Amino acid sequence: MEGTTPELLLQHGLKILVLARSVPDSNLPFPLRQGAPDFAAFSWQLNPFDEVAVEAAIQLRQQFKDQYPDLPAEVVVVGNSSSAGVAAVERALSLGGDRALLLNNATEDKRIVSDQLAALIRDLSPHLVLLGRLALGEEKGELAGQLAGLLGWPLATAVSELAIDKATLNFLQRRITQSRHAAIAMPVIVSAELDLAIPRYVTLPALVAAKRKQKQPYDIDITSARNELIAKSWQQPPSRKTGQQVNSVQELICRLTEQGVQL
Amino acid sequence: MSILVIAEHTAGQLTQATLRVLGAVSHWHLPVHLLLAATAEEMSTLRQQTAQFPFIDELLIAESSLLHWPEPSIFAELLQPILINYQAMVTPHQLDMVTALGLLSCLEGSPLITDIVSFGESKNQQLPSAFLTAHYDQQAWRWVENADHGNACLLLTLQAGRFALPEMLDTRLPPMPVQTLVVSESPLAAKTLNHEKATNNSQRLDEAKIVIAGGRPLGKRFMQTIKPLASRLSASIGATRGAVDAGLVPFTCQIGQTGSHIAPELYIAVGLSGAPQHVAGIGQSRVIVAINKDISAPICQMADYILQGDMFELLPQLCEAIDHKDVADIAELIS
Repeated sequence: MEGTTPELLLQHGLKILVLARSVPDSNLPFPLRQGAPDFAAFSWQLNPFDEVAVEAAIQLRQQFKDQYPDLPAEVVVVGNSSSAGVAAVERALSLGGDRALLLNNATEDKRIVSDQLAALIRDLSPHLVLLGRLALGEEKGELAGQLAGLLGWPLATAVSELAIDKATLNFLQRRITQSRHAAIAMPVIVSAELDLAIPRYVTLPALVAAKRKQKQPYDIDITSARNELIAKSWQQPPSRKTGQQVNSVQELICRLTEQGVQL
Repeated sequence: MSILVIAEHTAGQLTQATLRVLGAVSHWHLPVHLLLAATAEEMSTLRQQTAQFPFIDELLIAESSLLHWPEPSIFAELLQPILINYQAMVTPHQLDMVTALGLLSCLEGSPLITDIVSFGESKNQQLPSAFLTAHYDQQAWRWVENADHGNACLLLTLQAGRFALPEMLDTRLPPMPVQTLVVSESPLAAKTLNHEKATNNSQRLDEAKIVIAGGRPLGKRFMQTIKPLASRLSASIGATRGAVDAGLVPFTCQIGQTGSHIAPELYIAVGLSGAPQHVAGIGQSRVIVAINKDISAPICQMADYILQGDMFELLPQLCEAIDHKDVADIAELIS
């Protein structure tokens, strides 16, 4: 077998762990009851950033299989055992995930969520953990950092391209004012920017197959020792008043000048 | 005990967001230290700017070529040893810093509060009793009480657009005390292979004074319709997710939940309906103008001024009116 021996790290195959979190559907108006989110009225979907991360994981698995056809390569989806969580996990499986683990984290305490995930990652020891760079409205980008901190792993934030090269991972990061290509050693935590991959179209057979894929509960009992301030009462943000209609561009410019806008 | 503000900067300039954060923390009447973490070439211009700023008691300088990129692990390791000196570390809510503080919070067990839009009363020389944080983007806010964390340093990210821009001094202040921090290479950080500064349209959307954004209906005529107006107003160009997904403009133009959050003086929304996902990113704009055919579109419910009609006709008209406005102003001055 010429050129088919991978680095020591990957000699028993490639294991990718990817998060599938459920978030409220951002295309629908946000349900509020007395200023607080009306969780019962939420319509949930797979976090779009996680969806991209799943697609990227599937593509990496395919590349690895093409390169080393004799070695196993799997994508493990990690989600939540609530009904919305399971729906998100099934969506990830229909994109091509191999199997799923379901955490029972019906808690508002975010420390427990990150500690549970860190424990699960230690247990499974994947080569790569992929997650969206944020979960719409639920998590704002801190989770990737927290996992790296808890595990002592390297971290690549909001990446736009990914490729495995031996035991390192090459990636591209784009920011508004700069961009870079960089390399990082595996195992590694990677958070996905929205342009990392385009989620594939899910066919009916893939949907049916996803229902049959293994979804295993994964129970860990964890109490976190870290400090955290607990969020309390909700408040409705001030809403903007509907303004006035103007009839011409001249009138618009007049009104803007009155408002002190420098054109 | 003091507050540490971690400066955000682009191309050797402190961002508006950093200034707003400095203004916000000055209300707590605690000593404020400012951390400048940058490369040698950026540092000199950054230090000059701090001389015009009245609220800083001490400067912390971290200078290294490693800081050309906001690498979370390098920031976390830089901040970890000085954590015990501070009651709170505060920074604008921005992706790489949120991740860096997330990392730091797990190294030292410090509580992290992200996306703060306002805060409760602060007694003399103490941190506020509570912080108001944004959840589900701008759609629900929640109070977080500042209690039960012992003496741990709080890690805070502020949604800077919600706080006023403080006044700068015309005169320069006498030099303030300076502390130098050592930046060390982290085994956990990535190795940069090739670094590029973006050239086109490099004004950051979230820092722009005027933003003009368009939606998918502009189609192939997106740039030719929006650009003339944008260049007349020196405005930044933004877009909805739909327009970006359709490939009309680059990904960095995206405004909303999945893109930038903007806080301009003037926001002009052209031919976009105002889906919740987009609206989440524009709530901090001071004046919103909607140019739309359909005045029942959600964007028109939240706009200050609504101009109804065909965008392909109205935008050139608006450009022309702006050109003539200057002439009219001069004529007014002469007469």
